Amino acid sequence: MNESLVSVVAPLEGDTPDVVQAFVEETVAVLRGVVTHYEIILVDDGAAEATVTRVRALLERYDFVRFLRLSRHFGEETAITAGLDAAIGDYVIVMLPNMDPPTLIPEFLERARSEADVVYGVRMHRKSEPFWYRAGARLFYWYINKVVRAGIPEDSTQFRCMSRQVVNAITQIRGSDQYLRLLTSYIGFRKQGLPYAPLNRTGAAIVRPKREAVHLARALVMDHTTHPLRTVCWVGVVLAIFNFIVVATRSGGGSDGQLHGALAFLVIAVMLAAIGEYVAGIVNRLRDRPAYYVREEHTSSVLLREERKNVVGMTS
Amino acid sequence: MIPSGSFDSIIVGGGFYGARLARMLRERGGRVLLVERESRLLGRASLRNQARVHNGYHYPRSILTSLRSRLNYARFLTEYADCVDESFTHYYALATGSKVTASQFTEFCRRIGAPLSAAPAKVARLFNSARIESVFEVRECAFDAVKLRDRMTRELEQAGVDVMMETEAVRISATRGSHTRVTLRTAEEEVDVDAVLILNATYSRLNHLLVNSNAATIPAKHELTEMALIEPPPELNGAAVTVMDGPYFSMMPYPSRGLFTLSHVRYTPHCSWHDRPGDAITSVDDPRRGRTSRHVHMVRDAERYLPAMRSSRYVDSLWEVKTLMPRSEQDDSRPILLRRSDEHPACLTVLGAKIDSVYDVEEALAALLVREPAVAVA
Repeated sequence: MNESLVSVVAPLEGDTPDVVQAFVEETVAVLRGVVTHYEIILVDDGAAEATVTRVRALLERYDFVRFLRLSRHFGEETAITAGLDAAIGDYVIVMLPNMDPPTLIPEFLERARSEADVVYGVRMHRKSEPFWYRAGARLFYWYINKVVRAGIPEDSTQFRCMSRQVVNAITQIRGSDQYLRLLTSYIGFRKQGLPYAPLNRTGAAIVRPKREAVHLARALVMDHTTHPLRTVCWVGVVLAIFNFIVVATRSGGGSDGQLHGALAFLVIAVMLAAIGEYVAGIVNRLRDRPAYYVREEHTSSVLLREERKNVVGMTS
Repeated sequence: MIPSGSFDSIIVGGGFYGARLARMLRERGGRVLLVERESRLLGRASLRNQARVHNGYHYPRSILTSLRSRLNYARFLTEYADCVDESFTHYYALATGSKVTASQFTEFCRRIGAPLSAAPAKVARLFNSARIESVFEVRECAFDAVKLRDRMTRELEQAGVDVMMETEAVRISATRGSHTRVTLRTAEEEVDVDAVLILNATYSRLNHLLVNSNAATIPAKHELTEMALIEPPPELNGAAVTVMDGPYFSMMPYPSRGLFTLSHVRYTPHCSWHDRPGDAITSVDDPRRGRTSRHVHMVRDAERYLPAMRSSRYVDSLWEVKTLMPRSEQDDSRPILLRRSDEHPACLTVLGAKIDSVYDVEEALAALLVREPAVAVA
C-alpha cells in the first residue's frame, strides 16, 4: 500500500450508464488494492440524462467519487483540463471510461513512481478502425512527427498517468484549446509509452466522427506549430519569382497567361486560408475567456448500511 | 436516581444551548431538570466542532446575518472571556474566481465594522498566488469547549438546576391539566415525570423525541462530518487560516486539545440525509464507525492554495452529526429555530447553527414565554 493520493479523471460524454457504472466499479476495486487514498473525478461534458442519474446513484454507493458538471459540452480535451484543475492527487490518471482498462492502473502507477513522470498509453492495434481513419492517422503522424517534429508518440491515447509536478506544469499553461498530448510533449519531463489493447465496453465503433477527427488533427497541428503558415508563404514567394521570370522573359499573352493567373490565384487562396486559420487562432486566444465553466459539483454521500437503521415512531 | 415529582421545565439535551436555557428558565423561577444522554455536559456537538466564535466574516452576501453575528460575538467574548482563546492571528484568504472579490470583501467588512487589514507580505507569500487573490488579517477567536463545559457545569449547580446524566428523554405523552408527561430512561429504569414546559435541545437528535412522541417531525438536514485535528505547519506560527469561498477550508486552534482543526467544504461532510415529515428517521449512534478518514484529501487540496500545509501533521479526527436548519425557518438575521409541537404544545424544539446564536434563542424564547403565558413557568 502506498501513502500517496491517486486521482483518476474521466470525461463523460457519449458514455452509457452501464459503461460508466462498470468503469467506476472496476476502478474502485483496482484502486482499493493498490493505494490507501484515491479519488475518482467524473467530468460531465454533456452526458445523457440517464448517465447523470446513474452517476448520482454511484455517489451514494462509492466513497471518494466527485462529479463535476460542466455548463455544456466543451469537448473531451477541455473536460480533461477541468478534471486536471480539480484533481488533488500526487498522481493523476486520465482515462476514457469506454476504452481504458482499469486493470492497467497499477502498472501505470508503478512506472510513474519509478521510471517516468508521464506514462502514456499506446494503442496496440487499430485494426478495428476503418481504412480511411487509419490512413488519416498515418498521414497525421507522419506530418506532425517527421515534418514538424512535435514528438507526439504514434498511436498514443489519452490514458496516462502523470506526477503532481507534471500536472502543475500542464495546468499552468492556459490557452483556448488544451491538448493534453501536445502539452505533454511541450513540457518535457521523463516520458514512457505503455502499449495496451483498448477495451470497447459498448461494442460499438469507437472512432471519432470524421469531422471531429479532422478538426482535432488540424487543431493539434495549428496549436503546435506555424510550419504550415511558413510553408505556404515560401511556396508563394517561390512561385511569384518564377512567375516574374516567365513573364519577364516572354512577350505576349495567350492561353498560358490564363493558366498563370489561375495558378497564382490558387496559391494566394491557399495562403489566405492558412493565414486565416492562424488569425482565427489569435482571435480565440485574445478573447481570453475561461476554457470551461463548472455548473455544479457533487461528492460522494454514502450512508452505511448499519446507519440506515431507521427509528420509526413507537406507539405509546 | 431521577428526582421524582413534577417540574416547571425539563430541558432535553445538555449541550451549550440546553445548559444556557436551563439556567435562564431556572432564573425565572420554579423547578428545572436537565437530562443528558451522554456522561458529560457539552460532550457532543458543542465539543466536536471547529470552536469558532463567528465575527461576521463568513456571510459576505448577507449584511444582516453578519451584523447580528458581530453583536453576538462581542457579547460572547465579554461573557465568556475565560473560555476563549484570542491569542492567535486569523487570516482570511480569498481564492481567485470566488463569488466575492477582494474589493467587495473589503467594502463589506467596512460596512459591518469588522476589523480587516492586509496580511503582512511574509504571510501572503506563503499562499499560492495563482490560486489566491488576496490575504487579509481579521479578528476572530476560538472557544475552549472544555473550559466552557466546566463553567456551565458549575453555573448549573450554583443555579440549582437538577441535572441527570446518561438519561434519555424517550417520549412525551398525555397532558393532565397544565402538566405533560415525559418518560425518562436511564440504564436501570424508566421513570415518568411531569413538566409544564419541555425544551427539546437535542440538536441532531431533535426528531427522535418527536417521532417517539408521535409528533410531526421537523424537516431537518443532517450531515455526518469529519474535522481533522492537526499540528499546524510551523511556517504559520500558530495563525488560523480560512480560505473562501470556492474551495473553502479552514484551519484554526482547538484550544481544549492544543491542536488545530482542519475542515474542508468538500471533505468534511461524509454524507447527508433528510428527516422528512411522515418518514422514518435515520439514526447514527457512532458517526466514526465504518468511516475512512479523509484527512489526506483535505490536506492535499489545502496544499494547492497554501503549500506549507504539506508540513502539517495529522493526529486525530472529530466526528459528529451536524444538523442544518430547515431553510423555511430561517430569516436572514437569525438562523435559529424555535418551534412548538402541534401535538404536544408543551414541547418547544430549539436549534441553532452556531454557538453564539444562543443569545438569539434566549431572546426568542423569552419573547414567546411572555406572549404565551400558557407555557410560562408557574
